[in-house]
Amino acid sequence: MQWLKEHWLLVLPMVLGAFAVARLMPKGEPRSSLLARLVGLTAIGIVGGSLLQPTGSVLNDALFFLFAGVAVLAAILMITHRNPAYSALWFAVVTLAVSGLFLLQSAPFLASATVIVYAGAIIVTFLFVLMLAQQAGTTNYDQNSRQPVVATFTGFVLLGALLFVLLPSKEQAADCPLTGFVSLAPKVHSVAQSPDQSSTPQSTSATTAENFGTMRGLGRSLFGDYLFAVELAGTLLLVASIGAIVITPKRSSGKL
Amino acid sequence: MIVLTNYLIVGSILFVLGAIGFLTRRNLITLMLSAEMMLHGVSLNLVAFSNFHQNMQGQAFTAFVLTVAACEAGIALALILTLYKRSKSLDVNLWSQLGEADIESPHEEEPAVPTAQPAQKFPQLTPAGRSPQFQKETAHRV
Repeated sequence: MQWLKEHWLLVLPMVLGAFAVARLMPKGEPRSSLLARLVGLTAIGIVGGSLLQPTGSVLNDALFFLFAGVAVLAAILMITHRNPAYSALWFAVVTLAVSGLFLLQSAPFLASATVIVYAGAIIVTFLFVLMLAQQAGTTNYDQNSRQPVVATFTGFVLLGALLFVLLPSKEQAADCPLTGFVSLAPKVHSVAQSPDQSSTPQSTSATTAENFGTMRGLGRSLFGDYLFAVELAGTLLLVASIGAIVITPKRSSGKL
Repeated sequence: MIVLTNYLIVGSILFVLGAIGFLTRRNLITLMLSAEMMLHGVSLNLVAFSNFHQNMQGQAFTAFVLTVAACEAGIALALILTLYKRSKSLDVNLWSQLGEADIESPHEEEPAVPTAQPAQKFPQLTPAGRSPQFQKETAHRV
């Protein structure tokens, strides 16, 4: 009971969010979901208002809350929508919001690459397959999800455990108000000032702080430290494309 | 200075929502989209830690995650097309016979939901040789 009294800010949004997601999952006839929507928005509001810490910079905070809120809302809409085509479009919104978060974390190349690869290639091909295979719109199996209550309960128990580990307790937050971490990682400034003494694997000098966030730094890291991994990734792409050509049904062996 | 924990929270929320979607939805395409959303959560974690440590290793890992996601999408679409060709449906429950024989099927019987189609109104042509009657509705539509 004491534990519950201390951590009610963590438990309450988990319960509300689990109720909302389980209620919004398609099951049987379409039903009115106004209550579930309100409860879900309340849960997101509690998480955003109490668990996330503002940094003090107004522009950073505004952009972060905008992108994070759009990402989470579109994610919930994606997994609960009855029409898979709309799910794919909501996934595109999730991708755009996540690439906005990448931009805030000074990863501009990854933001653009994510938009190009996911929104430009993957979603379009998924939509093509959807149009090819399922022309009737929503079907019976889209309207009935499989064990929504149990799966949502499991997922939100996992989320609660993750957040319980992630959120600092009060004395830790007093020690380290900005990062929230004291034990997991060294302080930022010590890493930035003495990159050679960090316990991370050996990296060339070009991948350290002065090149951070630039395309030059990422290129030096990829083609310097991870050259063999890049070669392996290229081989993986080649093998995957050959495999996709082999697996795809041939036209001569029957109409799709 | 950017708070690291915020990004980790958003990443874990995206990961868990993707996992819930993967467990519950029955359309093969929605399953794959949910898996991609789990990858988004992981990428967000990696990029946040990359910014936290001020080195490029997390971003390099995210580039590899992107590569593997593209490969996965290609293979998955080929497999989905093959499965669709065999069963003429995207329902994943049709393939539950691949499990062990003595474990009972996890999915319950559900009533068939009539797919609500919106009532379509087709334009009606007037027979030849008669002057057409303009209705208010058609004028409104055009």
